[in-house]
Amino acid sequence: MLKIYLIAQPNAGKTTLFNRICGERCYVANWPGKTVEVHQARFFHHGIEITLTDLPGINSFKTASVEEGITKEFIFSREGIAVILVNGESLFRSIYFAVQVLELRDAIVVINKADYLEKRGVHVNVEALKARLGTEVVLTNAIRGIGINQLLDRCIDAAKGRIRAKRLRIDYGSIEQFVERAEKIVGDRGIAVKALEGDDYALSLISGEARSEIRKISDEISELYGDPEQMIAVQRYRFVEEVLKSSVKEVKVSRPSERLDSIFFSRAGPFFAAVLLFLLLFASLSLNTGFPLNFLFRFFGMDEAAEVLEAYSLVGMISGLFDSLSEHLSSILPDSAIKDLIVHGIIPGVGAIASFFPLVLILNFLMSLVEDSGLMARFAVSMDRFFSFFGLTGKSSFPFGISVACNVPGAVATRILETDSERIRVALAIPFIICQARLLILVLFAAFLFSSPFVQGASIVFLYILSALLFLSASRLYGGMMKLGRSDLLIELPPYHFPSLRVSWWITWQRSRAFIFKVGKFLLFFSVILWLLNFLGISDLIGKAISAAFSPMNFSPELCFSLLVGFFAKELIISSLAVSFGTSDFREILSMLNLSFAQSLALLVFISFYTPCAATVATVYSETRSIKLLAISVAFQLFLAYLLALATYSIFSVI
Amino acid sequence: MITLDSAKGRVRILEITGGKGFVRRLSDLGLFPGQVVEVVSRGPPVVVRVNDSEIAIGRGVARKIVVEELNA
Repeated sequence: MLKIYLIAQPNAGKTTLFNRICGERCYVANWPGKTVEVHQARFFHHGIEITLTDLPGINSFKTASVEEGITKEFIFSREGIAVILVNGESLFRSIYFAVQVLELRDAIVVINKADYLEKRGVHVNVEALKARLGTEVVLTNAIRGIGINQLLDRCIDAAKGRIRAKRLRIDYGSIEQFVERAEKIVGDRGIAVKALEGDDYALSLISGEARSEIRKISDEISELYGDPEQMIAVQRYRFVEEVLKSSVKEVKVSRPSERLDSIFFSRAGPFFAAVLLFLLLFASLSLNTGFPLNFLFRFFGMDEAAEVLEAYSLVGMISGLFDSLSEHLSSILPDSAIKDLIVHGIIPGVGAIASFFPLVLILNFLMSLVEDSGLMARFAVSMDRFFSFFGLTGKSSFPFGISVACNVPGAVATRILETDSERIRVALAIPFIICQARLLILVLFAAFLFSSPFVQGASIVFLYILSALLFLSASRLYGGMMKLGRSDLLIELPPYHFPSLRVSWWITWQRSRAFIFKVGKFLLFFSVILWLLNFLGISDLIGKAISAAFSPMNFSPELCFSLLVGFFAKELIISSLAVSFGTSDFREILSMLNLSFAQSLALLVFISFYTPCAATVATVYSETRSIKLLAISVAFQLFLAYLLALATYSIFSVI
Repeated sequence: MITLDSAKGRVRILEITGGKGFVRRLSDLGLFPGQVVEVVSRGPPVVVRVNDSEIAIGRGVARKIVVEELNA
C-alpha cells in the first residue's frame, strides 16, 4: 500500500486538491499519539491501493500550533511519499517553503492554481524547475481536476524508485564552510541547516554533543557575519530568486483587482467593507428567521408578506415541524414519565439543535466563500485601523460580524485569527455581542414595555452600541489579565478569485458537522436537565433562590427561573414564562410580571449581557480548551450584567 | 531614519527591530534587511508588494521596520 501525504501552506489549495482526488471517500482519522484530526482517504489508482493523508496546513517551520507541529515532524520523519503544494498565486513564498522541505526530504512538487498563472501571463518552465529543484514537478489546477492523474502517476513512480531524487543542496555562500562543518557533525545537511537556524525540533533530534558543537559554529557565524538564522534565510531567498528567474517568465498583464483594492485601502474602505459585510449578514439572517426583512415588510404595512416570510423561513419551518412532532407524540403515547421526558425534554433539545443548524450552516458557507475569494484579507485590512485601537487586528471584524448573527459560528470563526493571543481574547469576549436570539427577545420586550416606537428603537440601538464597547473592552481586559501582547496585522493578501462552490460546500459541511456533534450534545444535556427540574417540581424553589440575588431589583421568582432557562437558549425565556403563568399571550404575561419602567430597562440590559447560551459556552470551550478561562469569563460576564442591570435600575428608579 | 509606516514608493529594508521570532516571521514573508519592497498603500495598515505577493502590515509592526526610500 502506498502512503501519500499532502504538505502545504494555508491557501495553497490543499483542501481542494484532496477533495478533488478522493471526493466522498474521505474520513476523519486521529493522528497517532496526538489529539489532532486529519482527513484521510483510501482508493485505488492503476490497481495500486493508496492512502492519502491531508496534513494540517503549515505556515512556516517556526510552528506554533499542535496541528502545524504534526506536519513539521512528518517532514523530518521522511516517511511515505510527500507531495508539497506550491501556491501559484504566491509562487515566491511557497517555493521558499518547498525548498526548505526539499532540503530535508524527498518530495514531489506540485504547482497548483496553474490557471491563475496562465491568466496572469506567467509561464513556468517545468523542465527547468525540475532540474533546479532536483525533483519531479507537476502543474495542476485542483479546482478543475487538471494534472491529478499525472500527479498520482508520479507518486507511484517515486514509490517504485523510478525517480532519481537527490536531496536539494543550496550553496550558502559566505557561510557555506560553516554549514559543511555542521553537516559533518550531524550527518545530514538538512537537519544541520535547521539546527543552525536554531530550530528546536532539529536540535532535539541530534545528540547533546552535536548540539554543543552546533552552538559553537553558530557563535562563530554570529561573530563574523551576524545572526546565522538571518544569514541562512537570506541565502535561501537568493537561491529561490535565482530558481524562479531561470524557470519562470512573466508577461506583464494589468490586474483589474487593483482598482477594487484601491477602494478597500482608501479612507472609505472601512465603510465599504462594513456595508458589504452587513449585506451578507442581512441576506443570511432573512433566509433563516425572516428577520430583519419581516420588520421592513411590517414597517411598510405589508403584514401578510411578513407572515409568509416568517412561516417559510428555515427556523419557522423547523420549529413548526418539532412542535407538531411533540404534539403528535403526546397524543399517541401513554402517560408516563418517559413520555414527559421525550415530549418536554428530548424533542425540544433536538429541536433547538435543528433550529440552530441552518444559521450555522449558512454563516459557515458565507464565511468560506468570503475566505476563498480573497475578500477576507481585504476586509481585515480596511477594518484594521479601528480594531487596532483595542489591540486587535482587522481580522477580528469577522468573528465579530458573524457573532451579531449567532455567537456559535462567531466563536468558531476565531480560527482565522493568526495569533493564539488574539484568538483567546476574541473568543472569550464574543458572548458580549448581542446575537439574533437575544435581539428577538429584546424586540418583543421593548415592543410591549415602551409605548413610544422611538424609545423602543433607541433602547435597542443603545444596547447594541454598549455591546460592541463591552466586547472590545472585555477583549482588552482579558488580554491585560493574561498579559497577552497586542496583536498586529501581518497577512499576505491573496489575489481575488471566484470561489469554488464545491470546496466551499465541503468546508462548510465539515465545520457544521462538528457543530452538531460537539455542541449538540451539550444542548441536549441541558434540555434534559431543565426538564428534570420542572418534572421534580423544584423550578419554583430555584426561582425563589435566584430571586433572592435579584432582590435589589425585585424580580419575581418566575422571571428569575426563566432567566435560568435563558442560559440554555435565550429565546426560551418567553416560553418558560408562558409555562409558569399558564398563558401564551405575551401581553398577559407582562401584566402579571408587573414591571416598572426602571425594572424593564434593567431586565433588557441583563438579558443582553448575562451568561450566553449553553451552545456558545460549549463552543467557546472547544475553541479555547481551557475550563479555567471559560469559568472566569462566564462568571465575569454574569457579574458585569448584574452590575449594569443594577446600575440601570438605580438610575431610572430615581428619575 | 524612517520606518515603514511613514515611507512611500520603493524602499529598501535596512533593519528590523524586535525579537528573534518576530524577525523570523517577517523573513518568512520575504521581509528582511536588504530586501526592496514597494509600498502599495500607506495605510495604516501599510500594504507592500514584495516579489509576487502583497502583504498587509499593521502599524505596530511597520514601526519596527527601518527603511530607506529609493526614488523619493
